[in-house]
Amino acid sequence: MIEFHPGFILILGGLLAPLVGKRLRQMVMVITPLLALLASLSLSVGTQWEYSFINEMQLVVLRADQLSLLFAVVFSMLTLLANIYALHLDRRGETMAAMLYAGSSIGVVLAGDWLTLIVFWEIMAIASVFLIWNRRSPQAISAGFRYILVHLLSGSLLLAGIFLQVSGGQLEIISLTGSGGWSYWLILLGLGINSAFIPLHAWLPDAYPEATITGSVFLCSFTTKTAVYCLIRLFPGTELLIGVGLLMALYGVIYAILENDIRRLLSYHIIAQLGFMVVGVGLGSALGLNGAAAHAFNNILYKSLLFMGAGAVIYATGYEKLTDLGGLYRKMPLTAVCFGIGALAISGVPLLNGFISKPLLTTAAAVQNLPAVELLLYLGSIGTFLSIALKLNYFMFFGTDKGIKVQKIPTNMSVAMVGATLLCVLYGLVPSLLYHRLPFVMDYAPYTFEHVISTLQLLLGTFIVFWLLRARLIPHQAISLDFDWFYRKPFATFIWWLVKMIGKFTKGCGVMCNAALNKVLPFSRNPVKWLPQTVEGPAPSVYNEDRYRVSVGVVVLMSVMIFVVTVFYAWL
Amino acid sequence: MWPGLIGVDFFLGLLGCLLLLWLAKVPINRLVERKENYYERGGDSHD
Repeated sequence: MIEFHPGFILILGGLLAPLVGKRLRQMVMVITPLLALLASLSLSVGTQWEYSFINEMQLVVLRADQLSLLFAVVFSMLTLLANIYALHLDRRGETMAAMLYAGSSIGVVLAGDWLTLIVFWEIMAIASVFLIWNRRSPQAISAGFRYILVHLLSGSLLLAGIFLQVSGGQLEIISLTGSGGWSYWLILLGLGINSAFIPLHAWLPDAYPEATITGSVFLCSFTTKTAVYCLIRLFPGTELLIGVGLLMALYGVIYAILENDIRRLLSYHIIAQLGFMVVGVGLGSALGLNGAAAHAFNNILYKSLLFMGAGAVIYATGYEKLTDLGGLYRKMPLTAVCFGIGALAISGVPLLNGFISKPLLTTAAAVQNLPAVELLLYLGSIGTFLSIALKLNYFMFFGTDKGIKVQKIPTNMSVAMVGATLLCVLYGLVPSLLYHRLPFVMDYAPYTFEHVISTLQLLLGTFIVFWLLRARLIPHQAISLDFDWFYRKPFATFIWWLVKMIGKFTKGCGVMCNAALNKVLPFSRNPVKWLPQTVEGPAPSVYNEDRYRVSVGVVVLMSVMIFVVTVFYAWL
Repeated sequence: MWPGLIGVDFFLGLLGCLLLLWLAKVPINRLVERKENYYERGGDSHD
C-alpha cells in the first residue's frame, strides 16, 4: 500500500490554496486535511522514510511510531475542524499560513532526525506569526513581532543544541534524559519556550488573543503541543519537569481567575494544561507519559472547541472582554452548549474526554508515591473548573444580560464547533479509542465508582464556593502584568536608550571625522606642502593643481598597463 | 490516595477553591493589576 506523508499533503494544500478561487480553495481546505487524516491513519508503526544526505548522513523525514502517529492523527483532525471553522473567510494568505503551520507541525512530530525536525520547526514558527499579523490591528502587529522574536530565539537555541548533537555524530533523534551538557540544556530551553515554561511563557497570552478569530484556533493547538511531543520523546523522566509543570498548572489558573479578556483567559489555561502534561513527562513512568500524550490529544480537541466558541462570541458581538459580555445563552444557544461541553471537558467531568486523560496523571503521581504532586494537580483541576467552566461560562453566557446585539454566525463555524463537541463526547464515552493509540500498553479503567464519585465531589465543592463568592469574581476592566513586562517596559526602554546613545555616538564620530578630514584634505590636495622646502625663497601662495596632473596621469597609466601585461602574461 | 476517602474530595474542592481565590485576588492581584491602557501609555511606543 502506498503511504503518504500527511504533513506534505497539508503543505501542498497550503501552497495550492492561494493560487485558486474561493470555491476551489474551500475544497482544498476540506479535502487536504481529510487526505492528511487518512494518510495518518494508514501509516503503520515502524514506517520509516530515509534519504541520503551530505557525507552519507541519513535523513529520516518520516518515522512512524505510536507517539508520533497519535499526534499526527489529532493534528490532522484539528486542521480539518479549524479549516471548516474558517471556510466562510476569503483570506488566501491566512489559509496558506494555517495549512503550512499545520503541515509543518505534523512534519515535526514525524521527523526522525534532528535536521528534519529543525527545518519543520522553523517553518512552523514563521507560518504561525502570519495568523497573528493577519488581524492587522496595531496591537496584533506589535504582538506578532514579539511572538516571532521569542520563537526565533527558541529556534536558535534548539538549532545550537542540535548542532552540538549532529557535530557529535548523532543525527537520529533519541532521548536526551540524563545526558547533560550544553546540547541538553540548549534543547530543553528551546523546547521550554515553546512549551511555555514559567517564566518563558509570556509570549503565549500576549500573542494568541491578538490573532484572528480563526488563527487562534490553529495557534492553540500546534506550537505548544509539538513542544510537548518533543519533551515526551526527548526528556522523559526528567524530575526537574515535575516542579516546572506544577508551577505552570497553578500559575495558569491563578492568572485565568484574574483575566477579563476571554481569549487571554483561555491562553492562560493552555499554560495550566501544558503544566499537567509537563508533570507527566517529568514523572516518566509509562502511565505518566501516556497521561501526557493523552492529555495533549484531548486538550487539542477541547481547547480548540473553547477557542472556536470564544471566536464565535467575538464574531457575533464584536466584544472580547467579559465586562462587555453576559446573558448570551438565549441569543447563542448552540455556541453556549458547545462551549459549555468544552468547558466541562477541560474540567475533567465524567463522560467527556478530559475525564479519561487527567486521572492518568494524578494516578501516575499516586503510584510513584508523590502525594504532594497529586494534591497540587488536583488544585490545578479545581482552578480549571473554577475559571473556565464556572467563571468564563457564567459571565459570558449567563450573568447579567448586557442587551448586546448579536449577528448570526456562519453555518460552517457552527458545524466545526459541533464536530469538536462530538469528538469530546465520543472520546469521553469510549476511552479505548484513545487508549489503544497511546505509546505504552496500559490497563487503566477511568470509569470506576470511586473515581467518578471523587471527581464529582471535587467539582461540587468548587461549585459551592464559586456560587457563594461569585460577586467577588465579577470581572473588571484591568490587565494583569506578566513576565512580558520585562521586555515591554524596562528592556524596551533600555533598547530605546541604547539606540539613542548609539545615534549620539555615531553622530559625534561623524562630526569628529568631518573635522579631521577638513584638516587633512587640503594637504592631500597639495602634498608639496608636506615636503621640505629645497628651493630658496617663499613657497607659492597659490598652488596650481594642474601642474602635476599630466605627469601623474602618465605614471598611473603606465603602471596599469604594466599590471595588465603582467597578469596577461602570467595567465598565458 | 485522596479519592479513597469519601468526603475528602468535597472538602478539597472547597478549600482548594478558597485558596486559589484568595491567592489570585489578594496578594497576586495587588501585585500585578494595572489599568487596561498601561502598555499604551508610553510602554508600547518603544515596541
